Amino acid sequence: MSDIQENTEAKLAAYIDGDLDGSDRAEIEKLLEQNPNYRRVLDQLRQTRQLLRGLPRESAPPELSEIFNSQLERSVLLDGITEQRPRSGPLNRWPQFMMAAAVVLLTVGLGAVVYFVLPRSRPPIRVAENSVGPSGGLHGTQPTSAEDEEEDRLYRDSGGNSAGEAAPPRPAIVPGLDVTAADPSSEVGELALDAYQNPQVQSLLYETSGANTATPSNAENPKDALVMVVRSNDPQELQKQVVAYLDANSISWSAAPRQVPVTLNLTMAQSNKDNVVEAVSPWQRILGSNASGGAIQPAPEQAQINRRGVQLTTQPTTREASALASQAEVNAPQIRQNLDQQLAKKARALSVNNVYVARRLSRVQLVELSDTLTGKSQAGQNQYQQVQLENVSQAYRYRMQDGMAKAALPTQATTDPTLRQDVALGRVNFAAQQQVAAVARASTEPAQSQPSAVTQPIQQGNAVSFVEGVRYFRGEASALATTRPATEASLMAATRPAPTTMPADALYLVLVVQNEAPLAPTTQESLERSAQPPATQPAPANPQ
Amino acid sequence: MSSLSGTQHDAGLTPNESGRGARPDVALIQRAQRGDRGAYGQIVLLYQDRLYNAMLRLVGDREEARELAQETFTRGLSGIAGFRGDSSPYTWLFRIGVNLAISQLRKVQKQRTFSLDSGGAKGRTGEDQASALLDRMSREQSETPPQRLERRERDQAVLAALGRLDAEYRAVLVMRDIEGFDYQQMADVLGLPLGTLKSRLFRARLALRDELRNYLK
Repeated sequence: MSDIQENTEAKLAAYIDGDLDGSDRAEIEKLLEQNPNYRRVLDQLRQTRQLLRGLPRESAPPELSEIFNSQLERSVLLDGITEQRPRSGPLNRWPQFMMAAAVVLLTVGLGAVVYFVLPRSRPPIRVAENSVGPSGGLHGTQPTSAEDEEEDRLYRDSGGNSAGEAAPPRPAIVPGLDVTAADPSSEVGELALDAYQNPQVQSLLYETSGANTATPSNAENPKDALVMVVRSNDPQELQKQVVAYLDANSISWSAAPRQVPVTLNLTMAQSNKDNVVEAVSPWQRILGSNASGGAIQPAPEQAQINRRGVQLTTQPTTREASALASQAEVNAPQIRQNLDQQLAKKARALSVNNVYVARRLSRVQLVELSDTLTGKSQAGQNQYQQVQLENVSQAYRYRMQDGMAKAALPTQATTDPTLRQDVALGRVNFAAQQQVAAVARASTEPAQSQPSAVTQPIQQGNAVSFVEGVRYFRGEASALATTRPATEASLMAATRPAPTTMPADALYLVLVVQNEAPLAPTTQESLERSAQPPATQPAPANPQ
Repeated sequence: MSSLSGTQHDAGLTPNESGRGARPDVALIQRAQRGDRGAYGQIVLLYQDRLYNAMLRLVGDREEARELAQETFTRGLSGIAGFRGDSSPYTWLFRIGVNLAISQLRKVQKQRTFSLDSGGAKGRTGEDQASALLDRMSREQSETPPQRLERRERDQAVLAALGRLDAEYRAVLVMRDIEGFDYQQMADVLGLPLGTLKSRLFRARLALRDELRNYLK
């Protein structure tokens, strides 16, 4: 949290409790005089405190001390027996030695089995088939676009497999995750996606979440992972802040190896010239000459990266080079575009200083951490990507508002730019959930249901997947396709949990640190934020 | 094992109230550290109501709150050698309890319904019931039935709102506004710098205010 913001909020808390004096108090009171809204906020906070203080106090049930005391008595008695136990003579240690030897033997044997018998490599992501949410789409598990398919093909073709060997399973992404909550096509969005899809990051997420089995439990599935991108001109200081916060809050974390080790060609890597411009040339030579119909030349040793950041080094045969050339002739512009994307990815990867994977944060901690990252560091300031921060805080705020009842949201979302932004920021998750919940209610309680906007695009008794919901809200689909026959259970299973049951905790965070600069709120800004009604909440224009 | 039981009137004492002269809770815990388990039993009696109420407001479920309080006392006993007297015995126990509760809230991500309805009449001793009744009567004496109904509804809403907050927010609100901890005690318990703690408290109150708008002027 930035120092200024934290200080401001701390002062306001102390002011409410009457613990503030001197110039700080005078400063706040001056602000209150200027703006009655601020005073109303603080009054409301005082009332809130009073409401809490007025709650009745409950006594402990009698069994609490009874059970505890009986435990205590038992332990006293057992201790007495222990103390009275006669000391035995010299011990025969042989059984213990034998047991220890057996354990060692068993361990070594198991180790040998694991090392020599079991396959040495494993797919980078181990939960490919474990889709619990909608498939495809924004954060989908399978390739959905032509570009994805092209990348898939490149991955299969250049994956280092010998001919005839089955291609390794394509790494999957956990469904339902807002990896790039802001704008997937923006620079930061792509970087976030790169980082999240990095196999090492995925591995950290899954290994520590106990998901290395075929069916990870929902509670342990890091589908609520969030990628934050922070730019700082003082990464070392930033690193200290992050680590201090995580440690102070007992949040387990790992530093992933630096973002994707992208190498575009082997020659360049050997000469240690990690330069994007130079990296273009071998590819341009191949693609340029072949696209212009020149003679087929043996392809130089080359490497590709797939979209998961896996380095794929291969020495193409003449036949493969020929196939590549043919493809280049047919579709040179697309391949160039692909190359550009790879180069951009490399440039992004090079700009990354560090990547952290933190587990089981609460949303509060996430907000605090993101605030921490916006703060001043010793040698400069960090520039946090506000879009990502917004996503977290908006989602949190939205949940607090219990705003799911805003039936007008779906219809407004197509026209209202603010709402469209909310949708892009990830609030659509909840809106979609609400839609589904509303439809479910309507289908089970037809007499009491209200023909609100939520039921209009979705046929009653049918479910809509989350991804379809996103497309609809983005205006990419004119109507929501109905997909599954519905019982309430299947409807709810098709989406993420409703907001009130959304886990308050257990968020997974991928934090990407880049180089760069600043922002800082003031007391007035803090109060203004507080005085505003729930951010961008639409007035529930009832369409009835 | 009569030494394990304490006197009932001790149970109502808070560290501050018992702070005149030699603090009995500190003396008890020192005796417990020397191996007097009966003294620890009295600590349990002394703090069980307060700790249970705090746990209840944190997790919202009576059975869970009882288990948490029990586990807190058990862990306190097993780690009693680690009590160095830097904080009051209750703060020390509360730290164990609040960490257990937060961990429990993270682990069990179920929807929590906070309720005023007492589930505790069952198995209560006559004395407990009587004191609870007296407590309620003294609170309700000055209220008309409609006022009572209104207050009850409001309390229910406050509890429900509290239940919707994140564990960290709930913890600071319970500690400050229900338990009456001072900032330094809270910072010690939660292991946070003072500024961060106050800032979290401010945000928690904002969050609760947003939940309770209908009940605020």
